[in-house]
Amino acid sequence: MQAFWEVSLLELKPVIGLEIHCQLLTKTKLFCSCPTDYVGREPNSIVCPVCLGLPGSLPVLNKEALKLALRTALALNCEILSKTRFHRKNYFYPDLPKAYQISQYDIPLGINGYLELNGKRIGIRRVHMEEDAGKLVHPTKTGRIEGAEYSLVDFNRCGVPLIEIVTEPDLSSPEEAKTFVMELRSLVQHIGVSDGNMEEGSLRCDANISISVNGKRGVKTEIKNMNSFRAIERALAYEIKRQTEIILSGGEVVQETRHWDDSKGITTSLRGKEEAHDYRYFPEPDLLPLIIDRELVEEIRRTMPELPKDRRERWKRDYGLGDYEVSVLSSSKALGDLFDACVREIGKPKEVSNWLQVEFLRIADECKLRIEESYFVIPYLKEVIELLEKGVVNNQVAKSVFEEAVKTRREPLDIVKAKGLEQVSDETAIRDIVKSVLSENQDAVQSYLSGKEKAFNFLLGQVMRATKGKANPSVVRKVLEEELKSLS
Amino acid sequence: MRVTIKDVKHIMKLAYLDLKGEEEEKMLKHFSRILEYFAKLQELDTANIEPLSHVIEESTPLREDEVKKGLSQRDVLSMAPEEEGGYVKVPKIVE
Repeated sequence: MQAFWEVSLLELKPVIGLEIHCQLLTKTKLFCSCPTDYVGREPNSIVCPVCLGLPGSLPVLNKEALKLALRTALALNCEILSKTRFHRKNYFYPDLPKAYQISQYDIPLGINGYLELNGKRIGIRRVHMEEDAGKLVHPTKTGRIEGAEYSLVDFNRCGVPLIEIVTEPDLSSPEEAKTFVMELRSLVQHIGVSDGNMEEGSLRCDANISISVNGKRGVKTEIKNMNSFRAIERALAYEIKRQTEIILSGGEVVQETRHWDDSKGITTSLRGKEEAHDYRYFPEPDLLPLIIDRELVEEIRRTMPELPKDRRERWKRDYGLGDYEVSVLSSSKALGDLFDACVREIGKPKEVSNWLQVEFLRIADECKLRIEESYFVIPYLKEVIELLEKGVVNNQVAKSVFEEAVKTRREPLDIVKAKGLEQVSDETAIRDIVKSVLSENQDAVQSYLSGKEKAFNFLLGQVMRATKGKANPSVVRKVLEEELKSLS
Repeated sequence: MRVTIKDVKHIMKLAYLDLKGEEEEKMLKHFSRILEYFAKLQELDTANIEPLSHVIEESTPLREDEVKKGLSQRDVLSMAPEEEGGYVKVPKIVE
């Protein structure tokens, strides 16, 4: 046990590395021609002798999966190895009918890459291809594994192509780890290799985490079952606290795999269940080595879609957007795509950016609109911005008209006409209203005249209310100032 | 390298095999013989030779990404010892 002054001199730093699996967007599985769209399918309806591992069947590598994997490795600035191969990773589990997973072991597809995160380079140790396993269902009342009398297996997901991305232990906080996964998801979405959907499991993340003490690397644990960005952040924060407490009380962290329990907010040991893991890797004898065609690599490099960082750079350079705006617009590829489509149609990137971020996102959230299916808003937005610029409506009215247009799918101009929402800028008409508001609110007028500036905004609000929000606010302000001045 | 009965038990566990005492002894002898043979092979100096995992020097063939029909659910389930609601039924996996 250390004394507290010794403890207080310890410099403790979390050291985090991530392993991320993404499902590749191919039509067929990694080694056979079965389709990959297993979501919502009848169980065991998209399988064949190859993905079931029936005797006599032979795997044949999917060319498209190789291309997508190479594109990912290149986008992550990896060195592409000229000759690679597949290994068998052997273990028994009912979701793995072959009793081995075809993966890559000693020679992955790509090594020594990096992904930039707010100017800091996070190293990518390796990128490799492997096949997914099936799904298990545990028929208990609670749906939990404990207490199940038997398990049910659906092999549909067996053989679906995955890419595994392993980082160097370069991440130093739960927040940075979360941001990294968000950036990586954005990358795989932008280059079209994966839909990166964490809820559906097409992007999965495990973490290795240890605490270094005065620069000396600590014992690491592996955290599994983090199924959302929030879970990544919470699980790592919990694990840092747990390991720190062990270290500060003079104990030793045990190297093990731990399971994140999202509802309880804790990690629990998987010791015992996992200790028999000894995968006995050996080269897959049913596949030849994979010699990487340099021309193919160059072609993939040439045809690389715009990367998220380049897109953000373009928005800043060409449109003059600020860091914050750019970070919101690039939070998902779908929103960025919609923004680009809007600007192509409407121009005015700053206005468009503002409308999308504030009004559109709020309405989309409220109405559960999918951004991918929201391109119908573009003409509405175009019209609303025009109405606003021509002074037909004021800012507040423009917002409510846009909202109504999106919700009811009516032309904004129709809504304005039908409801008589045209902006009133006529000074004489506004002056009449101002005068009557002032006579009805003598108290406020008095307190304004006695120096309470706040009363001005109250009176302004009353005038806007009297015009049902349609008055031109700058005309109202001007007239109100004049009228009040004449009273003082 | 000497193999012990403990190594045999470990391999049996990984392979999901359940052997009796005399069978374990027999396996121990087999393992030892194989490992001795490999120990002999390892005496060879291979420092400057690239490992060979396949005798053919060609790259593995690639397949176009086109869907083909596989097995029907009925075919799959007919191979399973037990089924329930389209799933393959297996003994519970965690004690």
